[in-house]
Amino acid sequence: MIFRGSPSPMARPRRIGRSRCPGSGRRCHASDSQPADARRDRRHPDGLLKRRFLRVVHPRYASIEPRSGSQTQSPAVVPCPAREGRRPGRRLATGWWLLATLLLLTTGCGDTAGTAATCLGAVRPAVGGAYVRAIQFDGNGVEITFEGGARHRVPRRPERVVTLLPGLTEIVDMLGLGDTLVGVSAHCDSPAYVDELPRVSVMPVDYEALIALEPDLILTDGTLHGAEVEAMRRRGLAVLPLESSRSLLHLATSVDLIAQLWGTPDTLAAARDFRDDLDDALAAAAPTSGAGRPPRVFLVAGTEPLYALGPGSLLDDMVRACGGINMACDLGRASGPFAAELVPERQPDWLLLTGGTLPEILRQRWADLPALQADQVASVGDDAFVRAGPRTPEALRRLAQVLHGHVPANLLGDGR
Amino acid sequence: MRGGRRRPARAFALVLAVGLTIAAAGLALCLGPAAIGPREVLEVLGGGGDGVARAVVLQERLPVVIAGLLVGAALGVAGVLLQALLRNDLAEPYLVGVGPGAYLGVTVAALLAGASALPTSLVRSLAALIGALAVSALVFSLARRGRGTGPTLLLVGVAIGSFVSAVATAALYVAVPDWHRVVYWLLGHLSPRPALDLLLLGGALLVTGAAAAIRGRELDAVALGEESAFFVGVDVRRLTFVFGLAASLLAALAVSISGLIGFVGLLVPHLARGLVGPSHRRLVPTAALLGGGLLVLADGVARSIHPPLQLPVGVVTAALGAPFLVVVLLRGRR
Repeated sequence: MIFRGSPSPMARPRRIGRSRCPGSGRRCHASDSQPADARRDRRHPDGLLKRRFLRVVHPRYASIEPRSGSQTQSPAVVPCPAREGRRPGRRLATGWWLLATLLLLTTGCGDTAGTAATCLGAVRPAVGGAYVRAIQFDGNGVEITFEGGARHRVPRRPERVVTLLPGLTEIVDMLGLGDTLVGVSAHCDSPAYVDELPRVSVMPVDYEALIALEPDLILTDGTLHGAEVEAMRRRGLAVLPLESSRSLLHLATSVDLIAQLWGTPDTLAAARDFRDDLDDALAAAAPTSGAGRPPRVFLVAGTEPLYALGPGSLLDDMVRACGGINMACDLGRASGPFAAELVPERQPDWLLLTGGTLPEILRQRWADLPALQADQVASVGDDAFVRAGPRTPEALRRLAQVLHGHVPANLLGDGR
Repeated sequence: MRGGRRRPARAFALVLAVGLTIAAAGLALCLGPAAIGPREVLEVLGGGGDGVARAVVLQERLPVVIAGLLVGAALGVAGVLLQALLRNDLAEPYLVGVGPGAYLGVTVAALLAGASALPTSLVRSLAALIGALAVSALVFSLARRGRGTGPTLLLVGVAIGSFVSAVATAALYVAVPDWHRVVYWLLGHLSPRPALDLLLLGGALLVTGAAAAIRGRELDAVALGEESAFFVGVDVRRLTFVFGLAASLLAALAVSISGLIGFVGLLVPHLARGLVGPSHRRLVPTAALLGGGLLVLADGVARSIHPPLQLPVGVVTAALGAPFLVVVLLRGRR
């Protein structure tokens, strides 16, 4: 069975009608735009059924009312976590994964390949978009169809895995598949045993070293290594480009996909545990109904020149999961140089730095910003924030506690 | 090409340059993605305006315009001096070791700061300055061992520059994971700078400008040719060494403030020559004015062309300046 992935929700940011950036009153690019058919998907009768089911089986969802709406048929697409009215949606989306796992376990689809394809259909991985158009599970593995029609195969239950991103290495370890690793990227440092594994240079990719490791699966991130994925594919390497660092949902579906590639009860259980953890973190991060104005956050990735994180970055999604608003919502990309004069215009409440501290000259220039007045400058440079992986739920909890004002900003890290 | 036939009266040309620069600076103050237009800018400059407008104009735009005027002026003057000394219309301020030196300096700073953390702006600026000065000093001392005049300097500068760039690129590629950030910095951008940096650059600019005014005739003679300069009694080697180093110092200070902003140093001398002719006494101040004006205008455009993204200003200087250059050169030939 082939099911088509949607064009990835972050691939081409669109404008959302009249949404405006707070502070500037300008019209925003929608960070969380999604195709129209993806929006319809929320009203899919199947979805309603699942939500009702969730309300029964899982007390955490009992308070969430299903949306009403026309019951339009729609193609199978990825539900996007980021939309208006998204907080309950978020938890429901997480609930979908829970449901999918329940289905997996009850039908025992980890054992037979044919059922696995169906199960994956229920999960609807978000691998589509920039590089992967469709995924087909069959008896021997997975066939990936790329944008442009090229296809290649990834085997089922690979035995020699190379990961090219620290977060993916941690995910593989979390799923109990650490002994399949035969090589990691030069930046991987966790868990400790990867220090003994051969290293592969990633920027640029050292294809010679990669081929010498004879991997039967290379895990990487298509959003970070797009051209390299294509080069690996041309060399006949079995590469699976995930998009784990795009958003929390992309992360969770990436974990699911890896788990289902092996499909053993242990990996599936580990993936389910991770989703539960993330689900808990999302629930804890969602602002309470009595909360005041949403915190306006500026994510600073560099100061010389000023570099901001925008829609399509994991931190942007984490901020929004906490009910915050990214001040660079109209950046139109995951990161990019940002016009400095817009910072005083948009008046952020928080400055979160992904590295280093705020230079003295910026501290003086921005002294009147609410963020500096309230001393709400913090560092999110930890690996837990930067890497999409097992530590992300914990990072999300910490971020939420700080943004909601429950703990002081220096719990994150000192950005001063 | 240096002798345009129809040229405005010299005095008027200088006044025109002043006017153009002021107009460019004023326009740059009004350009930007924040919704602060001419009226708000005037209000703020008059002491009024609301908090946001004051923050945007006084903390963001005005410091950038001041930095841009100084950096552009330094690049323009350095370009004029090097084109005269090297007797080459393609000469530009980064040619004799400044560009590659700054590149090497920033790379070394990034290496020293460790693989993960990037150097702070002060360390990076300092490293760029030291690298630029060290490499250009090397170029000048090597050139002095040869004939010490324009063509030798040019060749040594290109050779050493290529070598240093190669070393820096190799180091960057191998050892700095965040190399794209370093490269982006090198592409050039203007940001508000500490007063000390600007005072240093302003001082260097004044001293060099005064020296060029005093030695203007000698620069004119060197620009005409080594032999003719020698026969009117100019010590070509010494003049090349002193003014070459001064130009490099200006360019190095500019780089340490703004990264490598291309094209201004190449273009502005030609524009200035088209306006006031080949005499260096007029050429140097005109180039300073036009350089500053062009750079702040380009930065204003870079800020507002695709908000909130900020383009590298070098892209805009080239795009704005190249057509002017072609027009000036064609008019000169006619």
